[in-house]
Order: sequence, then C-alpha cells, then structure tokens
Amino acid sequence: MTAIDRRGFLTATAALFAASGLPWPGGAAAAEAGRYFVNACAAEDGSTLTRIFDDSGHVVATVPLPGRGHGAARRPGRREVVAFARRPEHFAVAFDPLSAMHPRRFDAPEGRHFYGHGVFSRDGRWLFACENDYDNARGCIGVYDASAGYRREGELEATDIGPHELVLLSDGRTLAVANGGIQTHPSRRREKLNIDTMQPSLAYIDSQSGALLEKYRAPQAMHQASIRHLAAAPDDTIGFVMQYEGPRNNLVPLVGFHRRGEGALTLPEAGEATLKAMRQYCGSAAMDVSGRVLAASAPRGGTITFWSVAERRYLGGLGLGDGCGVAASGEPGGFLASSGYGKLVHHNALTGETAPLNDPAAAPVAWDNHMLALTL
Amino acid sequence: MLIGRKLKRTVALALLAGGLAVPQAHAQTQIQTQTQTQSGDPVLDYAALNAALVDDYVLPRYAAFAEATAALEASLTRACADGRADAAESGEAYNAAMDAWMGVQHLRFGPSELFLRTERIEFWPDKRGTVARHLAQMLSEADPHALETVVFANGSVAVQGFPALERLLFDSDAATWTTPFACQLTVAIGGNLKTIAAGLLADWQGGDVAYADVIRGAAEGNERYFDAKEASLEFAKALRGAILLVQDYKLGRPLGKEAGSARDTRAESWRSGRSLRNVLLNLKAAQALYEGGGNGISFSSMAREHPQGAELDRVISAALERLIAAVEAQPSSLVVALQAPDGWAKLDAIRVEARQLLELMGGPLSEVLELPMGFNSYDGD
Repeated sequence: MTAIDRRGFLTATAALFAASGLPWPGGAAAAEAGRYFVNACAAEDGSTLTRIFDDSGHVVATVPLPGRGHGAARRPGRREVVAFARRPEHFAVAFDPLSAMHPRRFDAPEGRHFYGHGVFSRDGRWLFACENDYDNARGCIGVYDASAGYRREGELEATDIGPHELVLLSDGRTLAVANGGIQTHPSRRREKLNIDTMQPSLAYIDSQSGALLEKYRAPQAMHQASIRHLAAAPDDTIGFVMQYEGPRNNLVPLVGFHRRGEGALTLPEAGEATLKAMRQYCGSAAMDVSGRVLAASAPRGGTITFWSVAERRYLGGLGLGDGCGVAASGEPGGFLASSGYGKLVHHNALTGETAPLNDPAAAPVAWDNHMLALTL
Repeated sequence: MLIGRKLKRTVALALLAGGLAVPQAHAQTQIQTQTQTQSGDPVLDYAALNAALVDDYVLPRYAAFAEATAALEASLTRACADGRADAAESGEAYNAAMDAWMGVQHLRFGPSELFLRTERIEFWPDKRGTVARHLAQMLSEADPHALETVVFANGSVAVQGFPALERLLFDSDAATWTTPFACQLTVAIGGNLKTIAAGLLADWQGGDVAYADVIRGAAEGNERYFDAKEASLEFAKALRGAILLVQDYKLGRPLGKEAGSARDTRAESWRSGRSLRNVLLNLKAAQALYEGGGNGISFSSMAREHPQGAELDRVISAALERLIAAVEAQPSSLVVALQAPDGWAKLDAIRVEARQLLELMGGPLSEVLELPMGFNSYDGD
C-alpha cells in the first residue's frame, strides 16, 4: 500500500466512523476527527495515567491507571483503546480515547501477567495480548473477546519465552511476535532468570489456528540480544529492535528487518559510533505512515535512530534525553517522540526537521515507554 | 514544604528553555556522543567522578564496615564467655556495625550483588515473618552443627544477619532465647557479618573481582560497563536508591497512608529503637555521595558547573540539608516518634520531602548530568 493509498484508507475509516452513529463526546475540542496519540505517563505526584493528545501536543483526555502503563492497542471499528499494564502487573483498561469516560478494567487471569502489548483482530472483536505463563516459564498470547466485555476465550502458544510485542500483518490473520526470550517470575519481580541460555525469536503465528508459521533467530553469537519490540510496514516488512544482555564491551546490532519468506533476519551495519550512542538498548519501534522509515528509540543513549526500510540501513539520529515513546505522525518520515523528562517532539527523518510540542495547559509528566498513534 | 514546588518548576522550565532543548539534528548528521555536548556545556568527566567516588567514598566506607563488624564479633565472643549475650554488653558494638552498614546499604551493585551478601547482611523488609520463623526453628533445634561457619553461611539468609541478631540482643525476654546456644548463634552471626564485610572490601580492593578496577577501567569499556558514563550511572542510581529506600520502605511502609494505618513494627530496626537513626545515616550517606569530599569532583560540582545546574544544585543540597535536620530533630526510635501527638504528621512531611527530592533527581538532575536515573532508561522494558 503506498502512502497515498493509505491516506485514502484512513479517510475512508474516518467516514465510516461518522456513518456509524457513534456519539462524539460533548467537549468541542475533542470532537475533531484527526490523528491522536496515546502514551502512558507518571504525574508529578506519582500517580499513573495514560494521556491522549493531538499532533500539536494538546491533551484531549487523561485516563487514570491502577499502576504504570506500558503499550496500548487501538480497537478497529470503534473509538476504543486498550492500555496495558507494565509487567508484571495484571490490569488492562479499555476506554474511549476522546472522552476518557467509563474506562473498563479487565485483568490477565491467575497465573498470567501481561507483558504490556497487544493487538486487535481487524474486525475489532479479538484482542491478542502478550502474556507470561510464569509458573511454567512459557510465553503465550491471551485471546480476549472484546464484544463480551474482554472475556478471555483462550490462548495461543508464543512458542518461546517472553513474547513482548506483536503486530497483525496485512492479511489480517498473521501475527508477528517478538519473543524476547528472557524468563522472569513475579515472585522475583523483574529479575532476569535465564540470561545465559536465553533464545529470543521472531515468530509468525496464525491468529486463527494458533499454528506457528515461521520462526527466526539471530545467529547464536547474538542469543543474548532480546528481540523486544517491532513494527510492520504496509508491505509487511517487520522492523524489530533489541536489548543486548551480553558483555557490555561487545557491540552488536540492535535493529533488524525481516519479511516473510526471507531465509534469515537482516541485521544492518550501523557503525560503531551509532551502536555506542544506542548503548546496547532499544526501547521501542515505530514505522512511519509511508512505511519507508523505521524509528528505533534508544532511551539509555538518549537518542532516537531512524532506518530506511527499503534499503535496510541507518539514516540518522535525533538526540532526546530518556526518549522512548515513538509513533508515526501523519506525514511521511514523520514521528512524534516522548521522553521521561516530559518532552514531546515532532521529527521528520526525511527532512531533518524537528519541532518541540508544547501544550502550556498540560501538567508536566514523565512519559512512559510507548506511544500509540491512531486516526479517528 | 522543604522544596518549594514553584522553585522546582522554575528549575524545570529553565532546563526546558535552555541548552538542553532538543537539538536540531538532521537525518544525515552524526549523533552527538555523551561528552561532545552542545556549545557552552562543560564536558562531564565521568571517569574522574568514578575514580573519586571509589577512592573517597566506596573504599573507606567498606573499610569502616569491615572494621565495625570485626569489633562486633569480638564483642559478642567476649559477651558469650558466660553463656549469655545481651544488649547491655554488645549493644554498642551492634549499633556501631549497623551505623557502618547504613553507610553502604544503598550500594547495591558489584560485590554486594555476589553471594546474596545484601540479603544475608540484612533480610529486610521481611514481609512474611521469615526471620522469626527460621530463628525459632534454629533455636528449638539447637544443633551446633548448624553454627559451623560454612554450614551457617549456606543456610537460611534470614538468620544470618542484623535482624536475627537484633532479636537475640534486644527482644530476648523469652527465656528460650537466652540459652547458651542462642549466645553461640549471636557469635555465629557476628562472625558471618565479619566475613561478608571483609569479602566486600576485598572484592572491591582486588582479587578476581577487583571492582574498584572495574569501575576505574570503565572508560575503556569492559564486560560490566559500556563506558565511564555507565559506571557513573551506577552511582547515580545508588544516590537515588538511598532516598527511595528512605521514602518508600523506611518511612512509607511503617507510616501507611494515614495516621490511623501506621504500623511501627514495619519499621527497620524497631526493636533496637534505631529506625530513624538508620534513616538519618542513609540520608547522610546520600549527601556525601552527592557532595563528595572537599574540593574534588562530585555530582554536585558537575551539576553546579552546568549552565542550567547551579540553581538545581543549590536546591538539592539545601533539600538534603533540611531533610537531615528534620530527621535529626526526631528521636532515634520511630516507635517513640510516632507516640508524639504530631509524630505521624512530622514523619509524613519528611516522607513527602524525600519524594520531592526523588523527583528532582529523576528529572532535572538526571537531565543536567546526562545520567537518566528516572524513568524509561532507568528500569527499561
């Protein structure tokens, strides 16, 4: 799908909404159709929230969360977003992103906790959520029926430990899953229990049958590079980003690409200076609206890196202290990025233009790891 | 309120408006590295900071801990000559060793991560009453074999350190606890603490671990540290960790959300009446870690030399000073402090101030020092 096609698709989606008769909320500012962003955060008083803002940084809604949030998923066909707890917590909260009214909480079942990411089926009925079956050191994907109040209907095998983030491919059926490979147990909080033996993978799983379609690992020398986050281009090229748990003086690639059918993962050379600047750790991944640029944030290095999807090579970076959340803005090459220091920035990786977003009315917050973009 | 919220905002706004604003980076330009900061910013000399902290902070403190635990063991051994140990005889040595422990408790990296040392020195918080359970079991079995050095060190961590010793010395009303075996147990704990403390010091100084060299050599990159900056981040996290420990565990847990829900027995070392002395010493350790010794390089001096850091440094130094004064004005015992009519409110105010200090550290200070102690990069996912 080209950028123009995609924009046309999005416009059509907005029109569908208008026709669906869903009530727009009363607030005039919130009634605008357009592009919005969801990012969990912590307020100065320590309370945990998720905020919804527009592309100028103006906050349209704030939803209190029972604990620190992590990723979020947009429910297709509805004005609904699910915000997930940060591991090892159990909660998820579904809400209307424009009104923040009537948030509905649901929880991972006994013996499971959320990893913090999920994705909906294209019809908006099923929510697939990455979960830890911690007593069995097994990764799974919980399947929740959104039409039945997010009742958990079953689960799919993630096929490896630590499924952290997943995306749905353009066939509307295949899930690409980043299996981080790191074993944890809530009784040991966030301690990593299998660093010596971890085996991360990128797995393609049939969301309907649960069958493993294909699975890929980086070369064994890189088995301590946890494949943690990913994003898909419209042509289903996956960009994935990693966190390296090996010796600190061993520089390894942290960003990779793959498209189904290719025999191996592509791990582009980035150069020593870039790898050093990323400090062995990527925090989140996002694809721009055109599918031409992958953004990989490296909060420990205080940099957001940008990669050409077609050429699978490093393009450049943007300095942003503790910057982690990143999501596609509406323009080709454009991203919004957020930081733990409370900053929101727009950056276009193709033009090099950077503009901070400031909503003077917004109380300062520390933005948490992930940003979700959605068009309403 | 010790730290004016308005002032804090002013500092934050100054940071936003100043040289730390997002740089204009072009897609094809090289990313700035951590030491090549923007024009006008001083170079942050992490390697020099690390060297100063190892020599002037870490090593002397672990040496003091080793010395104090050796003295504790000697005192317990002497006291046990008559088959009875109690606070009258060994309380002073216990308190001196605890004082030294409070000076290094927040250094939770490197040698302290090895061999469960931190947990063996002090199994706390003990949310499930494990110390009492394992101690009762050990006393009822009264098996001398269990006190042999290696067996003891490999047994339950809950009976190996200060919390078990504190019960034996300060909570020994029960006749079963004042037995010759109980006395030998105090000696075993003393010997164990001495061995752990000596091991900590030795592992910093040399041997296979040689952690002082690991920190000093971080500038070239090694298995533990990416570079000198990452080693400095370890100290920065310890600084924040000390305040977090005070705010969250040492005050937050016993105080609860309101005066009615306070639980003084959740406090650390409440039996020996030194919960707030612990807090005081933690805060002093944090202050020393922040301000360094004399004219040398420190977190404080690095912040002060930053164009946007002078005011921030003043605010943080003043906050530490006032927190310490506020705790000094309290009795050593949190149990006693809570009995005062406004006791809870005063301690709660200290907790609130500590949290505000944490926010300054996680936000503006992290930003000025380019050492993210705060959020995304601190705890990752």
